Amino acid sequence: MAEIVLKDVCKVFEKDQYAVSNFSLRIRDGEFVVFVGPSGCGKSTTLRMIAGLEDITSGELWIGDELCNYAEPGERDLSMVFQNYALYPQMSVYDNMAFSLSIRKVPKKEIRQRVEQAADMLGITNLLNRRPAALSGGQKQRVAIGSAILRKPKAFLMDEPLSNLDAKLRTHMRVELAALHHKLGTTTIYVTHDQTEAMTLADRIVVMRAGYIQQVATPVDLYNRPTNMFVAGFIGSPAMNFLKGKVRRAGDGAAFLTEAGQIFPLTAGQAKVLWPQYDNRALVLGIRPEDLYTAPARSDRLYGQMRGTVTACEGLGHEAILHLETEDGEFAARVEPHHGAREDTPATLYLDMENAHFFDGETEQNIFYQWRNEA
Amino acid sequence: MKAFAEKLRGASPYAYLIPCFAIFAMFLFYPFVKTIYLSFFLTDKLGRAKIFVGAENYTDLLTSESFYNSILVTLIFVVIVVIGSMLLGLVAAVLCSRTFPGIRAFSTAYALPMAIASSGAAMIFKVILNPTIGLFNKITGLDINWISDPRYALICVAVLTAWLNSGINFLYFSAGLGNIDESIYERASVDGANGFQKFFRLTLPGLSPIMFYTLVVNIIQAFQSFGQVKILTQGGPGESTNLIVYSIYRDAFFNYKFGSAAAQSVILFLIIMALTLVMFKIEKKGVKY
Repeated sequence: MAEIVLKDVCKVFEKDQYAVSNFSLRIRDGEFVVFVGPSGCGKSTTLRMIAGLEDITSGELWIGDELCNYAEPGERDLSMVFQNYALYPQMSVYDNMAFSLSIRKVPKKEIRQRVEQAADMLGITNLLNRRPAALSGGQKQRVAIGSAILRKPKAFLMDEPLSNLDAKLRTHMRVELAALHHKLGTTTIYVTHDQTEAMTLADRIVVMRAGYIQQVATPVDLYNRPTNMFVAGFIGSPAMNFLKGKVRRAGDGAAFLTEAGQIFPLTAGQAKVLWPQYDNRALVLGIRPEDLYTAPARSDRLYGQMRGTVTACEGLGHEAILHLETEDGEFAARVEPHHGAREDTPATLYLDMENAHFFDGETEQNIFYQWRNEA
Repeated sequence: MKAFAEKLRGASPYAYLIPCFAIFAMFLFYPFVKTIYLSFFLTDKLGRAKIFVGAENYTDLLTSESFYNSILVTLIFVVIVVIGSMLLGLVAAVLCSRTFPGIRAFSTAYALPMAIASSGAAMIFKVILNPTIGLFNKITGLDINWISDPRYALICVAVLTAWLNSGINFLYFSAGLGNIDESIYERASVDGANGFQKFFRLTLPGLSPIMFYTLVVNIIQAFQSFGQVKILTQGGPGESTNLIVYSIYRDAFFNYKFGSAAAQSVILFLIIMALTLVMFKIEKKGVKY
């Protein structure tokens, strides 16, 4: 187990095309870090650079106390789980798991003991004599994980390990992975495009976009205090609703005026920051679906009213997703299952203004990020 | 009438087989049966069966030292050719399995022997190996009469054949390597395997299904080599390169002993068939996954 530190790591595949730019991160010993982002954002490339499967163009990679930029993959003492499991097709499950130890000339007896221990932990003891072709996806996944853990490496690298599994199995394996990490406490770097995996597994999440880190934070922090519109829109499902508009004077305080002319009141705190600094500048109001209500829930909160037409109601049993067409675009609201709204009828939604986010329309940065950090 | 139509319809699938069957019959079954037939006769100079001699052609062969020599020479030749051509093809395929600038030119060069006629290649080798003006002796500074020395003639013909056959092996192995999942090499790298371990533990076992097929094809092909011997050595010096196929050719078209040639053909056929059957038996055990 070890700390992994990346300093200004860059990856250039073709001339001046940065796949990863200035990636700096300190991964603490025993931490579970998830790299998340849309495809092509550089998350897998970063993981492969840590594994040694891609050269690091510039920057430093430290594993433990060693600078590992030029170490061979095998010298880094990491183990990796691949998206397609990468099991050796001609070897039995036992030999697959034993491979990394047998080429390190570990005594046969110890190999057997460790393979059996790992197999036992993952419940695959009965599969040891089979070949990979005779395994289901979930079993292959367990074998791949078993191969990774029995070597007791400094860290686990996982490249979308669950994305080839069906939804139910994925949920199941996710829980198992979390339990396994809890038990072993090994530093883990996990790449996924699935935000649910990121939110449930991670100690910290690294959100990436186009080769740049957007934000590094705990799942709760990331959800509640996104640093910019990209993070706000990427994390959370259905995604955060965005409303373009600007701020204007209203009585003692200020209000938010959308492009289509809807007006939302601002809280005193919001007004203080936005007026008059953001007068005549493009602003974006962001509101999560669960902060929209079909009726004002509490009398001590400030609500903004949004009118529109219901285009679809998706009942999920314990909740419902309302899709609302307004003059300012489409909105999704997560509401009580018995909301009473019907499709193709007008409806009013109430925005909990206290939970609204405000972004600079040009830089897309969260205006209140700094302010809330200090608070 | 109706019953006849029914019958006709039942027979129609077989009608579709007629063209294929006719070609096979003309070029395979008829010569095959005729060869067996001829092997029991003495023939005239035009190859017509004249006197029935029973198994005499066979007993003559089995008591002839020349025939045993032919078989021995052929076996040595086959071993050298098969090992040489498969190694060449495998090494070339492994070298060309990574992309680098000019890969296409290299791949073409390695596959090219496939497209060269054996007699043409033999002519080139004859020039290269010429003891006085040949390139090979000039470069190496040796003074060896490669083709006329009984110690080297067989090896020369075998090496030439190995090179000629390596082209198709290169293609087979390249295809086989393409079927191996790239990510298992990445996993092996992270697991700490070096190049040799990856080759012997992953690449070779991964090639085992195609390896078997290639081996069978190569053995059969090597047994049937003819053009290179005809051009390069004519079976000599002495009988040192008198491969069985060349011996058949010589008996039939120089000595006009078509009966003996036919008997040798039948024996060659039996040897190849026996080998192939044995290999298929072994395959069931040897090929991984």
